[in-house]
Amino acid sequence: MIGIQFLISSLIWFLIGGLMAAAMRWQLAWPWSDMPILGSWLFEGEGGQISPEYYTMLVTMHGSVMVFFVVIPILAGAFGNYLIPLMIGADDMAFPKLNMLSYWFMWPAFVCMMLSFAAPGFGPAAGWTSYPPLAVLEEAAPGSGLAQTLWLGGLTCVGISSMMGSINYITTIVQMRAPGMTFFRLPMTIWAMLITAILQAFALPVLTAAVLMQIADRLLGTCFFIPEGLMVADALPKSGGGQALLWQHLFWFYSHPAVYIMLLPAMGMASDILSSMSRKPLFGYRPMVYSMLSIAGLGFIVWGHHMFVSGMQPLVGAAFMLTTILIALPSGIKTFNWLATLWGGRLQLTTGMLFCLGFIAMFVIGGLSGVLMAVAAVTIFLHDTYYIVAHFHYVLFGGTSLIVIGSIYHWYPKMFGRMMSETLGKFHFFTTFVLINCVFFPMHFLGAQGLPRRYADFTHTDSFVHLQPINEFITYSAFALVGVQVVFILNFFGSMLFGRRAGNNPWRANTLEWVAPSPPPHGNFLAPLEVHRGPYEYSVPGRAQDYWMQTDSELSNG
Amino acid sequence: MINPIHSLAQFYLPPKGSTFADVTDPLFDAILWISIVSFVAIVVVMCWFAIIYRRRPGYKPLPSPSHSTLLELIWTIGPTLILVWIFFQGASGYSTLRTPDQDAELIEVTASQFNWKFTYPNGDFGDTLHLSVNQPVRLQLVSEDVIHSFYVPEFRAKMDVMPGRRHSMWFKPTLVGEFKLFCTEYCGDGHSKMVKNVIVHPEPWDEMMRKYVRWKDAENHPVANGARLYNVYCSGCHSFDGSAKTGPSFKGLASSTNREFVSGSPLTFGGADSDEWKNYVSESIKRPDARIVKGYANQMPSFEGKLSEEQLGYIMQFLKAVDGGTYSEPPKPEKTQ
Repeated sequence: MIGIQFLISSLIWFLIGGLMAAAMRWQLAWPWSDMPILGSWLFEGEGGQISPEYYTMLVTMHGSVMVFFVVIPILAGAFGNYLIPLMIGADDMAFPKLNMLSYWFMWPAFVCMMLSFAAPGFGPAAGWTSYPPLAVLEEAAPGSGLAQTLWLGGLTCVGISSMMGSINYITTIVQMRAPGMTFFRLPMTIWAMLITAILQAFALPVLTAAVLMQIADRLLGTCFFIPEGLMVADALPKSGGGQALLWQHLFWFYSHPAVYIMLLPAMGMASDILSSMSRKPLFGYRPMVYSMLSIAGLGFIVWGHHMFVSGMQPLVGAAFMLTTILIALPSGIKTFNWLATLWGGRLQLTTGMLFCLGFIAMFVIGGLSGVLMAVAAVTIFLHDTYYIVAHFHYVLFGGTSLIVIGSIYHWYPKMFGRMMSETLGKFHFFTTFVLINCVFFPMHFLGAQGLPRRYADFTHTDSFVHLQPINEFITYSAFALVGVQVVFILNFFGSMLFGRRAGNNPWRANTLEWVAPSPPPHGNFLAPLEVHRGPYEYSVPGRAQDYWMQTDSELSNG
Repeated sequence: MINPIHSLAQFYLPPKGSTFADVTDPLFDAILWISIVSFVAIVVVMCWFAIIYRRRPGYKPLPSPSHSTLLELIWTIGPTLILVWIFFQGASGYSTLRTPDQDAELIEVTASQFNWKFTYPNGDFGDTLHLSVNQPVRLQLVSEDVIHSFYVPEFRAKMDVMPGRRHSMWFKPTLVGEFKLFCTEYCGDGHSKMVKNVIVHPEPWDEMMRKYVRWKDAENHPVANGARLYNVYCSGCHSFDGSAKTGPSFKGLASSTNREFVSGSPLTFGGADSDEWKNYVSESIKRPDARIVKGYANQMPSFEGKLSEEQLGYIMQFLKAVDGGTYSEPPKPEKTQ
């Protein structure tokens, strides 16, 4: 149930974050023109235009909302919470109260963020990375006042929530597996959730500490991140002695592993959907597990690649470059294993499966542009341009979000007991897939021309005027992309009422969640389970059925 | 060989403006082509599998392995070799980009919210970066407030400007012409306007310095000096064409006879030669929070100690010239690319 609560609240924030992106695109395509519909209501004072302060707030909040309120909670909070007990055969999470607390700690965060919109200066505007001194000194930017303090408060609550969640996931997966469910019989989703939870448990304390230090700098007069001798607006001189660079180290020490927190669960779920819909065992189960472990391990020692142009000693930079390039290896192994899973299968191209295939293509683009960006000699040129915007949207939107949507189609029957419409689903997939590429692919061209990110207006120098048609095209596509999500919303809520009844195992899949009734009652399973085999025994020769559930005893022959 | 992507030049890399382009561009091309080939290979195989192995009446799947050590070794070792090559290329290029030329001339770059200031070896400073072609330069970067970043796309050069730390960067421009310098580290609401000109002159360094970087003996000395000070310190927030930026425009300031404030009583002046006007301008620069012009917020830093009384005088002369119509922007050198 907590999982569904996380799911619904994250989806609502997804919509809010998406609308913010649409507003940004409006400004970038037609700078300083009146925004239709909402403009006259939001910006009465400016005659319906987006002001520069408002644009920077949008950039900040779009990033913060999508990372902290959508992707992380929907993967760990929603799917982690929902699938972990079901897939390992447990009746609930190890600590149900902690679980509930982890959801309800999101609400203070939601409230803080909502309130920060009402604070002076439209809202926090220091970027989702919140780099000091811009974020620390109230005088540095209109949004660096109360709004920024609220933003930091919100982030602290998200951190507490995720911490409670990850402790719960680790304990549940280690302690509550059904009899016979050994570690190497766990579905990939569960492996991914376990590794993600460990990543989070190690990385998050660093961010929380850094956020508290930034709060102390703002409210208690400390100077962790404030160097000497600043002359920001009319601020009183601070004693200084801090280092702005320190924040970048602390922030990216969390936020780079966070990229994998936002990706590994998606990879896990993709593996499960691909295998069951290909009616074939997952190719190379153990290499898949080991490659996830090595992605997680390497993920801890690559944070410096966000700081190649911060004045880093080149030898240190070279080391970070090496570790970053190495991550391409396990990622490549996973991709090849997914392809080999399709090889010789019997593919059921359901909506969930289509989203998985789309994910692979998008992830490959995002991964390969990642290799390009890992090379310092190239990335000094590309850093902070639209190339990086294209790169991380391919990974996070083209990659993770496609899997999130695909997983909703795949596990919806279990969650609500009814099937979603496949016709609407396929329409949703094809339009979304095409439009994502229309929005994000041209950004590579913008980046190669050196277009800097986080600019409210490119038209006041003639350097980038020739790129304006591309910006307009991206904006039209982005509006269409937001627009077609209406189909998904209709399908999501409509299917709750009118969907075909699903039964326990509509996809004829092996894993334990399909043993439970749909939707699962309190306690999940009707009878105690015993696990006899791994999760991917599809199309076993000599069996009448092409699937073999993990609970079936050796003798049963479908 | 002609790279077909280069025919889409205006959507590809900008013109090569420094020696760094010879490091960055070939590497970019190489990795891009490796990526394109890998992407096409993966997606073609995926689509082909999705078509031939899709479930359909009468189709029986053939047995296929769920594990193959040979295949797994191939797709682990193959990419490893490519990645190792990429790393060594990238690392050697990186070291070129970060090893300054011994003959580099030193220029100090001071960034502050929405302004750039360049101080040359002869002590002159201005808001335009003058360089000579094929003369390597080393820039010492200092920020007065938040983090900024120095970026000229044509030079393929970028470095953050950190408060409280000095970094330096170097490059050797190879293309004569006028380029734009962008701030690429988000620095506040004026971030996208923190753009200045970089001019690479064909003259050798000493001749270029004599011709373009001479402040004290400039013609129309006080107004020209005032204009330079304006460009360096004020232009980020104050226009002189009447448009409102972060602060009020300077247009009409010298000819105005009164000024209204957020709080306190309005001031009346007897023109730009009156003591009231001069005192007001001086106060606004040294203690900007004393009186805030109606319609604006208290956002301006104090310039107390940063500008001498002499320099204040130049700025006032400049303001008068703007309103008197005797100031016009100096003609820019022609673009020769």
